Parts: sequence; C-alpha cells; structure tokens
Amino acid sequence: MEYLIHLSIILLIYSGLAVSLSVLVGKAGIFSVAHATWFGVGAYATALSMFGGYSYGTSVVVAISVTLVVSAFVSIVLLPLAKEQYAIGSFGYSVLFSTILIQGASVTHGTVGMFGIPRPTVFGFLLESNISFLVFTAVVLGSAVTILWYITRSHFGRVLCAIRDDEPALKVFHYNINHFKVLIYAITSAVAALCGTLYATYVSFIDPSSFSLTESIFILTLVAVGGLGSLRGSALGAATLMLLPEMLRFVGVPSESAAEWRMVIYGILLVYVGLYRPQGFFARPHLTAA
Amino acid sequence: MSKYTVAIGGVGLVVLLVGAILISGKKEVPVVTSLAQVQEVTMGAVLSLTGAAANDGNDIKNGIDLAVSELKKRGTVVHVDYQDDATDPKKTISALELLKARDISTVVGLTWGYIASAAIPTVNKENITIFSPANSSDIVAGASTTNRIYYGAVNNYKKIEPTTAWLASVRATNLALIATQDAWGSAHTDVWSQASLKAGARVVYTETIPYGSEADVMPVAIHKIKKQKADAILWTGTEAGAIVFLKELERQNIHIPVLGTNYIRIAIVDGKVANPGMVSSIESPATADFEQRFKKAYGLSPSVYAESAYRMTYQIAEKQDLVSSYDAKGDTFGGQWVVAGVR
Amino acid sequence: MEALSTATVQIVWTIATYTVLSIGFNYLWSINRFFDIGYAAQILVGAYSFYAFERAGASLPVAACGALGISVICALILERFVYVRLRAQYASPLMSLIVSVGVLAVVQGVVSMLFTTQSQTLVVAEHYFRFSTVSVSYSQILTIILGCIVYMCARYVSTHTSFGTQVRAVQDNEQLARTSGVGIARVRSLSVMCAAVCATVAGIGVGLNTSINPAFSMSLLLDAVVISMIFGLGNIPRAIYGAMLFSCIEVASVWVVGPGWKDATTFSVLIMLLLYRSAKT
Repeated sequence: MEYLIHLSIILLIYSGLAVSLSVLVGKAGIFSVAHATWFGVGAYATALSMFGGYSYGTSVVVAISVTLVVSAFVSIVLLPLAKEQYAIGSFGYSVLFSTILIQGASVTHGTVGMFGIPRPTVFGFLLESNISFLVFTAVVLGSAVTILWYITRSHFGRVLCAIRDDEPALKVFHYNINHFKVLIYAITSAVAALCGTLYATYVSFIDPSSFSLTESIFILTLVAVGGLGSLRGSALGAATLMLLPEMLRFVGVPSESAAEWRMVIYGILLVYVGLYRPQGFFARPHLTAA
Repeated sequence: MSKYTVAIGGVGLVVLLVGAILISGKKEVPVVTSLAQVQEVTMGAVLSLTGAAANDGNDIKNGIDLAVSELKKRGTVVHVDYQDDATDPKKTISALELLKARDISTVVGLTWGYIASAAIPTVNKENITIFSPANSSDIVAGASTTNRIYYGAVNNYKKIEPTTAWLASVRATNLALIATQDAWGSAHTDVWSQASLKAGARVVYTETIPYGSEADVMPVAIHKIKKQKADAILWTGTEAGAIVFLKELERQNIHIPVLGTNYIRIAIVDGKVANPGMVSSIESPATADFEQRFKKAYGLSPSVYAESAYRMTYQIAEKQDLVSSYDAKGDTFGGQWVVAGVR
Repeated sequence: MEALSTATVQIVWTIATYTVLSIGFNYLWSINRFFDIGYAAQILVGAYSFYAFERAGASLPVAACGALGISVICALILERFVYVRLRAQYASPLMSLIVSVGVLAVVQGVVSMLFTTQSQTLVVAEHYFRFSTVSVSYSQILTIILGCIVYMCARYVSTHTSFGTQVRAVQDNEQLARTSGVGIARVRSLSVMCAAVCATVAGIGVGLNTSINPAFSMSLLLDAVVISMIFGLGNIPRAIYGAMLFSCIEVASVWVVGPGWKDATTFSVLIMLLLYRSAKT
C-alpha cells in the first residue's frame, strides 16, 4: 500500500509538471527545455527556507516569488530569439542553474545534496504519513491545475493559442505579445516551482542531478506522449510514462541484463508512440503541433 | 480516443499494477526443519544498474551473483529480488517501497552516497535493513540519523595512516590533489590534507573535477601540477577519469609518483591504458582467492565493492553476527586500506 | 609558453572533433528539421563498432572501415523504418525528438548488454610526438587529420557539387525542391549516410583520446547542437567557425575561470551571441 501511495505522490507531482509545461509548449508554443530548472528552484528555495527556520507556507511563498521573478527575467532575455534558438537559450539557463547548484556548495551543499528537509506542517498538522501527504499534494496540485485550466479557457488562453498559431497576425491587432509570453512563462514556472516544494518536502533529499537537462527532456516526453496542449492528456501521459518503468519491474527478463532490457523496452515503446500516435495518446485530433 | 476508452485504459493500468504487485509479492520462506532440507533465503537488491553509477552497480551485482551461486552449491538457495534505481533517488525510494510491499526487509545496495542519503527516511520509516557495499558512513549525508545501514566500504578516514606512510616513502614535499566533485571527492580531499600535514608535505595544487569533464580539465590540471613543481599526485575518480588522467600524464611526460584509488589499478590491470610506472593504488584489496574466482566467472577484475557485496550476501544468507563485523556507525571492522604498486 | 602549447593542442583537437560532430548534425538538421537525439545513437554505434572490430584483431584502417559500414547501415535502417514513417504522419518536431530519445534508449540498452557499462578504450599503447614544449599523441594527430579531411570533403561537396545544392534546396523548401526535380529520397539517404560517417569519425576520435561508455555520446550531441546553432543550423561550410569559437571559449574557460564553470561560461557566451545576432536582424 505504501508503494502505491508513494507512486501516486510522485505521479501527481510529475503530472503537475507536465500540465504546466503543456500549457507553455502546447498552448503558447514556447519551446522551453528548462522546466526542470524551475522545479529545482522551487525545491532548493523551499529547502533553504525551511532550514532557515521558516514554515512550509512561508517557504512556498518564497519559492514561488523567487521563481516568478527569475523566470520572468529569463523570459524577457530570451524573447528576441527564434524558436530553435529559444530552446537552446533555455537549455543554457538550465546548465547555468546546474552549475550554480554544484559550485555554490557552501549554500546548496553541491553534489552532496541537501538532506533532512522536514515534512510540511499545514494548519498545525504535520504531514508525517504518506497518505496525508498524498491528500495534501492532490489538493494543492489540483488547485494549481484548475487555475491553469481556467487560464487556458479564458481570453488570455485564447490569445496564447493565437500567438502559437499566427503571431504576426496578432501583432496587427496591437496585442502586446511579449507581455503574454512573459506572463505565461512566469505562471507555468511558478507551478513547476510549486511541484518542487512538494517534491523536496516529500523525498526529504534533493541534489542537482534531479533537476538536470535529462529531467527537462523527460518532462517534455510526458507532454508529447500525452498530447501537446491537452491538459488532461499531459496528466495521463505523465501517469503512463511514470507507471511504465514500475510496470517493467514486473516483466520477467533475465536478471543478468534486466536493467538493459527494460531500457530497450522503454525506448521501443517511445518509438511506437511516435510512429502510431504522433499527436500523443490522449490529444484531441484537431490540435496542431507546436 | 473517447473519454470512455481513456477511463478504461487508466483503470486497467492501475489494476494491472496492483495485480502484479499482489501476484509477485509475499514469497513464503520455508522453515528448515531438518538438515536434509534446502535452506531458502530471500533478500532484495536495490542497485544502480543503469545511469551514472551503472559501473559500480553492475560490479556489486556480480559480487552478489557469485555469492548466490556458491551458496546454492552448499545447499542455501538465495532469492535476490533485483531492482534497478537508474541512479535516481525517487526510483530508489520506489524500489525500497516495492520490496517492503513484498515483505522483503533486508536489502543490499544503494550504490552511491547521495542515493543512500535519499533513501534514509524510507529506510527508517519502513524498518528496512540495508547492507551498502560501496559506501561508508563518512560519505553518506544523514548517516547519523539511522542505525539501519551497514557499510561495506572501509571508512575513508582510515586511509590517513597508509597515505602518510606512502608520502614518506616517496619523500613527497609538494603534493597535488585531484578528486571528483562529490561527497567521495571532498572526503578524500580532507583525508589527503590530513595525511599531508602528518607527512610534513605541502599541498600545492588541488583540483575537483565535475563528472564528464575529465577530458577537458585534465590537460590544464596536469600542466598546473607541472608548473607548481609537485613531486607526488593523489588521485581519485571514475574509471573514465583514470584513463584520461593516465594518458594525459604520459602525454605531458610527467613521471612522478601517483597514489590513486581503485579505478586507477583497474584501468591498468584490465589493459585499458598503458602502465606509466610509479603508480600505486590504495584500496581494500579483494582477496586473491576472490579475485581469481571473480575473473573466472566474469572475465573482469573485481572492485572492492564486489567483494563487499559478496561478503554481505554471505552474512545475510548465513545470518552471521553483525555486531562483531560493524561498529556503532555501521562501518565495517573488516578490511584495511593497503597501498600497493600497480604492476 | 608550455601552457600556450598545451592549450593550443587541446583547442586544435577539440576543433577537429567538434567540426566533424557539427557537420554531421547539420546534415541531419537539413533533412529533418528537428533536434535528432538519434545522432547520439549513431555516435555510439560507430564508436562501439570500431571497438568490436579492434577487439576482434582488426587493424585500425579495417576497424574504421567496418565501423563506418555498420554505422551507415544502421542509420539507413533507422531512416527507412522510423523517420520516413514519422514524416509521412506529419509528426511534430517535439514528437520526432521524443522518438529519437527512444532510439537512443534502445541503442544504449543494446550496447550495454553487448559491451557492459564499463568504460572502454580504443587504443591502449599510445605514442607521442614531442617537440620543444609541444606534446601531441598520435591519436590526437589522427583525429585532427581526419577532422580536416572530413571538413574539406564536406565543404567541397556542399559548395561544388549538385548534391550540396540539393541539400540546401531541400532544407529551404522541400516542396519546391521536389517540384524542381530533386530526388528527395536520394538526398535524404545520402545526407543520413554523411551524418553517420561524421558521427563515427567523431566517436572514434573521442574514443581514441579518452574512452567510451554507453552514456558518452549524449554530451557530444549537445555540444554539436550548440555549435551548429552559432552560425546557423544547417550551414555546413560554417560549422568549423562555430567549432572554433566554441572550442576556444571552452578551453579558455577551463584554463582561466575553472573547470566547474566551463559549461556555464560557454552557454552564457552563446546566449549573448544569439541575442546579438537576433538584435542585428
């Protein structure tokens, strides 16, 4: 039972990451490879804040505020770049963040990582058990995803889709495109940071390897498999790909090369999804890809 | 795809997962009632069989498998439930929770220090006993918060004396230190600094190298070592790092004594890089007998972690007394650090 | 003086390796227009094929030819059975990237099974050329020579042959190129073969000088992507300029700033360069 609860918590956190990235990449057409960076900013800001004696609530506010400011700055800097260059630029920030985490060992403990992050206390109730943490995570991320869903359904969301589909046309109508881009980048990064606060307090240990470029590509994979621009699809895609390695634990393969076989099977499944369902498993057919 | 199909698919996935757990878990361990019966033992192994620590993880697995095959011949069947954590802390926790769901509370593994650190809260919560062949308490953050981990690697601070003796034997006065940028590297830098003080030597150059950057950094590092007129080098790193290090030493024509950790010996002995001479390695050597059997089984030289894993498997299978084998911190009493020239 | 000569050797070798990597990636970009992570798989196939031939006792030229052959065949198989289907379904660049991630995972798994996850070297006994303060290994000299040959051939092909013109035509506007009578399938196949050759040469070059393991090609791919970006994706003749700039920045940052900041310095300069170029246009 604890195993399933653990999986559920991790699944919820990564669903939150996938949904927020789906809004950014799928709705706004902003191809960012730095989502794990904001995940990491949230986690480290929370850890540092809680080690400084602040409550979880204060730590979340700090984490989200820091992320909003930094992500808005990064977004403004990268605005002039074309699509492929934007991806590389975001990748560059991801590398910069990883370097700061490793080199700033006096604050972040470098590659050793930060151990012993306490569980959150919410309204005087310590979330010591995994089941209580699961409920808390579900409530928090459910609220965040609801806000994102509302954003995508609003006028703001329609403008984002228009930016994705035909930016020059939108400029004719005097929309401040940069304003929308910066805002959605900051909002989705803040949701990723929120996921980071939950991750840090759940696992109680964070290190730079959990927020690397590989993690960003993995989150992109969740979105692509689920369906670009589809919030429900991204969440389901996250569930599928997070559960898949766990399912593969039960697949009987020769133990001498079990890990390698599982890697091969995972790769074949990714190729299969791409070849037979390129729009994503759960995407709506009329969506155009970013 | 309709909502109905999606819902069915999702429910099906969850049912499959739960069913798989229920079917594959809870192995009954038969009670031995007579000597004629085969004894069966079940244990788990959470290892990094893929990812950055795959080298060490697979080495440990080979050590476990060797012990399992030998124990089988003696009438003890050891069922090892292997789980790969892909050198990812959250997958380590998943693997431990899965093993606990299968009523397995004795686990060998947690390949690297930070993986072990990430696992400690779960280990404490689920009362899992961990035998960690590749770690010692000095490189695991949070080691003091648990008494459920037994460490197979000899504590690195016991390297101070043999390192001091080696420094004295090569008459080193100006030392260069090269280490990896992690807990292992920083523990070694501290150990070497203490050893250099004891030996009356001066550290003239220190370099910590991030993983994967050895090829870029080593030419600079070796050049600076030459420039600082170091007369001995203390090195630790990965096998890939050892290969780059030795090649660069040769390329820049540096022939000063080098003391490295086990991968430097493995790189030379396995024929991956030429022996430049004047290289010594400090390690808890695998016993000659074990090395021979390991090479016969796998065609590779074992690292000390493989023998730790081998020994720990025997300890679990034969229910050996652990109090006499491990100190209060969980560090092994057995083994010592020995400096030997690499031939 | 010795520092300068050591750094120069390092820069020249790095330029040669990165140029080859970048040319191969540019060929793939020209026909696919997405970040093909499968290029890392090609590097892996090339390097390990060479290792397998060498371990079987083949001489260096025979092992290289064998590795090139296997790499080209694998690349063509991938193109035929995976990428052609992806294009037929109008898969998005993101989905194509995900499929290429899957391809890399499969190749890494197979390589790990066949050769283990341990680091392997492609040459054990190294020879060195030493003159005054300059010290170069024969592997480095070989890599530099191969890099020069690959670059000169790629440049000639790109600027003086109809194939080069056709690649640029396909890159600019595939429909128009098809209408103009360009054999798209032939151009794609040849481009894939060129990319496979470059990947193999780069993989062997790195393996000769350092070591190879199933995870070593990913960082090379990322370097190739960044270098290609500097002077424009798909620009094959200018790949060397990107490699020169990137190598100089990388080596300079290691020597001056420190190894821990190497990647951050390189990418910071890259971002500033991209911003400068976009401000100009």
